[in-house]
Amino acid sequence: MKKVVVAATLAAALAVLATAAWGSTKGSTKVASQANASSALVKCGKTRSIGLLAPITGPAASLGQPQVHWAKFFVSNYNKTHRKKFKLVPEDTQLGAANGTAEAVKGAQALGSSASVLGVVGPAGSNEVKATTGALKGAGLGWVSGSATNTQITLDGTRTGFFFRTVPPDSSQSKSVTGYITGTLKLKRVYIIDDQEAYSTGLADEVQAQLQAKGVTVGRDGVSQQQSDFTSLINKIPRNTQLVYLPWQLPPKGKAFGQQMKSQGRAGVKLMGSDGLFDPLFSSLGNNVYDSFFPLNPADKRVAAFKASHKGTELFGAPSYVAAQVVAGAIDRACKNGTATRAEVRAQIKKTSIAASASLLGLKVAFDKHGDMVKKPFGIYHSVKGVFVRVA
Amino acid sequence: MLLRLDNVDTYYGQIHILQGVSLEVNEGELVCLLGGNASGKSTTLKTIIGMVRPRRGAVQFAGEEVSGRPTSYRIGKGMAIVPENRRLFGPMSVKENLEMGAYLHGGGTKEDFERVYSLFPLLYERRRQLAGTLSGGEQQMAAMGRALMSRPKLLLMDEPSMGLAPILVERNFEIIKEVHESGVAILVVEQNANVSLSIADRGYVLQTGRIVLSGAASSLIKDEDLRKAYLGR
Amino acid sequence: MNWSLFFGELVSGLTLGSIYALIALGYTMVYGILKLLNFAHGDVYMVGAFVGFFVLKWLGGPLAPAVTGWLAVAIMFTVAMLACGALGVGIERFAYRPLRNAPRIAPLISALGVSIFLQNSALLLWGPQFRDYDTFDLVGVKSYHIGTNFFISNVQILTISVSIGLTILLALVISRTRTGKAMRATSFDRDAAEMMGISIDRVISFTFFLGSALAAAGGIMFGLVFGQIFSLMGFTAGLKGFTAAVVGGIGSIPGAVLGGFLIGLTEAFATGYLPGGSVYANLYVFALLIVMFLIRPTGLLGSPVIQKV
Repeated sequence: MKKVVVAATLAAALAVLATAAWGSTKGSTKVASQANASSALVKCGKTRSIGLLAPITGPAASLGQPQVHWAKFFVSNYNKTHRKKFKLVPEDTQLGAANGTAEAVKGAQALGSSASVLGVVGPAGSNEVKATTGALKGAGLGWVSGSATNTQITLDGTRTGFFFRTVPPDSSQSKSVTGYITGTLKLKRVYIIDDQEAYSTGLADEVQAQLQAKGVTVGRDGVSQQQSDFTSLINKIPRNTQLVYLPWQLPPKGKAFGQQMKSQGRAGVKLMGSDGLFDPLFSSLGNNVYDSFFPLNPADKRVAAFKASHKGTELFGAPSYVAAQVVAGAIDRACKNGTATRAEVRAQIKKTSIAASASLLGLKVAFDKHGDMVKKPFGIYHSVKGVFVRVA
Repeated sequence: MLLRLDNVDTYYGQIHILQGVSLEVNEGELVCLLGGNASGKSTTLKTIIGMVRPRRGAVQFAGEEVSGRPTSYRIGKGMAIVPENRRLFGPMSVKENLEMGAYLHGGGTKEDFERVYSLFPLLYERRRQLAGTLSGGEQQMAAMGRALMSRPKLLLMDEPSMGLAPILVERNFEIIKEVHESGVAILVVEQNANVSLSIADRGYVLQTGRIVLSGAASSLIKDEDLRKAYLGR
Repeated sequence: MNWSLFFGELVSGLTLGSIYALIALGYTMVYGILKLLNFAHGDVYMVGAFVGFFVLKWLGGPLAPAVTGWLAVAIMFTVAMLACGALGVGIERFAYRPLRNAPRIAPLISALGVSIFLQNSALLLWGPQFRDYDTFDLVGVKSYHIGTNFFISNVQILTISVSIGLTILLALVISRTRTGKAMRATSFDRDAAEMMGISIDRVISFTFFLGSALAAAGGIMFGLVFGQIFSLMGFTAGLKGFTAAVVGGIGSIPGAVLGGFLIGLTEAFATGYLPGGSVYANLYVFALLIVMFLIRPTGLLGSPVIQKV
């Protein structure tokens, strides 16, 4: 009995300490210093600084590297054509690493306490956006993500006026997909396979619910990201299925799946992927392949220029180019009189208005009151001769 | 002189098993090596066949220094062994066991099989049977047959009477005598002095790793110390 | 009764089982002779798959091979099997032979070390990305069907028949050739085998050669059927091959084949019929291993431990 009491007391003590420690990291900067950082005047000078939060290394490096490359691409293009320059201050968030979002928070704090950083591009993951809100907001920084798509992070009000994104939210992706399947393709029997990751199951759930609401028969299954053998799973897909929806993140897996479908006599079934499969590996499967992706024009000159200097198009990172463009534009306008505050930069981000012709996204970039883009469709692409072509 | 051990010292780690052991077997001779438990008898055979290397001393066979040679080489030169406890390959058939005996000779010619089957007709009857299912006496025959498949110059036998009923032991030694009479040199390692000396030409007595007695079998039989130590049983 | 699903999983299961059987054979043979579980075996399978991939690349790649598709496949098999056979012999020579008289845990740890070494060498040399076999472009995958419920593709037929063929070949080598019998003799009683003049070193090397060659064949089959190979594929496959060998009775060659097909069919039918099938298929496979250990530890065809008299 005594042992239990001692143990319980220790546990309680530890819990109290842990809560105190956790609490202290959350709202580490008090309101007073927030006001200070927001309104601190920064001399713009010849080179202005933009913070960059991305998974440069770690399990999601394949997502982060394209983002870094595209952001740098913007900066180098800008610097070539302007007298006043920009430079990026990168912080590695190591998304997906064992210690969760700790690195992202550290990076955000570093950027926040930097004297010269006026705005931030990133972070990549929706969970990172949530975790870094305290540090970035506390430092008065505005931040623009090129990939955090969780629907709630702009709608819950915690970071309104500070957080923006140059990608449509997940609620748009599922709507676009459902709309195309029922409206254009007019299909009645769909099978959905997720890869068990949060992004995938979230999308899968939304699409499933929306399709069923429209009277479509939906089957549902899952695979693990480590799998290569889908033949046993493919056998389960009812023979009369017309389309299989794969909201996955790894293009080689999408390709393997498609090939195995073919080898089991299911070549006639349509395949639809999500933005994680927007890759030549997936489109090479044939002309029964569709995908949803940020409304990007793959034929844009900048894409070709990027491809020329990098080994591929790395389109996943393209919205980060737009994010950098937004932050840079805001800093430019705020710096008109030679100095700027972070608050001014944020106000300018809100007023962003990039014409469709100048935007890599092929549509006007402007933000609504939540921080989402005013126009936020997902594009639907169809594989034609092995390349994805926008059809909706 | 077919086989010669010259002042052999063998160790297992720190334990000095064989101490200055010297012995000889000539062509066509039947020699027995007698000794009780832990006398070093098996180690002597293992040294001869190459499963154990001596730290000092030499092993010579068929005019060649073979101390540094592996077992496969010595078998190839004409040694064969009937191991202690027979050690047949239980899950293999009698015929396959015989084949293994002639491994280095392509698995045995038709003549080899005929020779062994005529010596041990029982083995022919049981040739397809799994060796592990034979009785003790049958296994001893099979093990001998296996050793004879390679037409060895020197046949080594490790305690052939072990675990056999006395009537089988007698039968066994009759066969050993028969084989000897066909011209094969044999070295029998045994605890049973009576039976061995009755068919041997010469003998050695091994005690705690040392040769303590040697000589013609006829004189060894009469030896007082020997009688007391072994024949009293 | 959904016949289409049933036959589909049957074919998937037999295909998977063919690959697992080949891996299991290598495990069981080495265990039979050395009483060693060669944990590096799954990674030899992986190396085989990669060798096949690079041979294909050297021949011009799946889109423009220098020789017709099926001939290219034959060349891939041959080169990979020989190369991995040699790799297996090398591994034995340097990682296990020096430890032959050491306590049994030593070569086991050495095997783990070799496995890690191979996996990371592959990661270093060939990178973490998936490599495509592009079977479609190479030989053209055709799907055949009997009635409306039974489908099988040409690569699946190839996998199952090559696996059965290699197994029969192995069985013949072991039961009919002198070296094969020497392998068996060595596995029953190593010292007695040595006393027959058998060179134990050579027999063991030969065993590793055979087992590794079979694993390489399995690796190429995986690439052909599933289209993709990657540096860490040896881990799970090796584990399942090991499971198959144990379930069938470690040390028994027919057991390895039986175990391989059993594991493959379990995986396929679990995916098809059990809840959470395709995500938890591995769970069901390894649960089978645990159940087998509880009710029959020596495996289905394994021999109970014999006491030598």
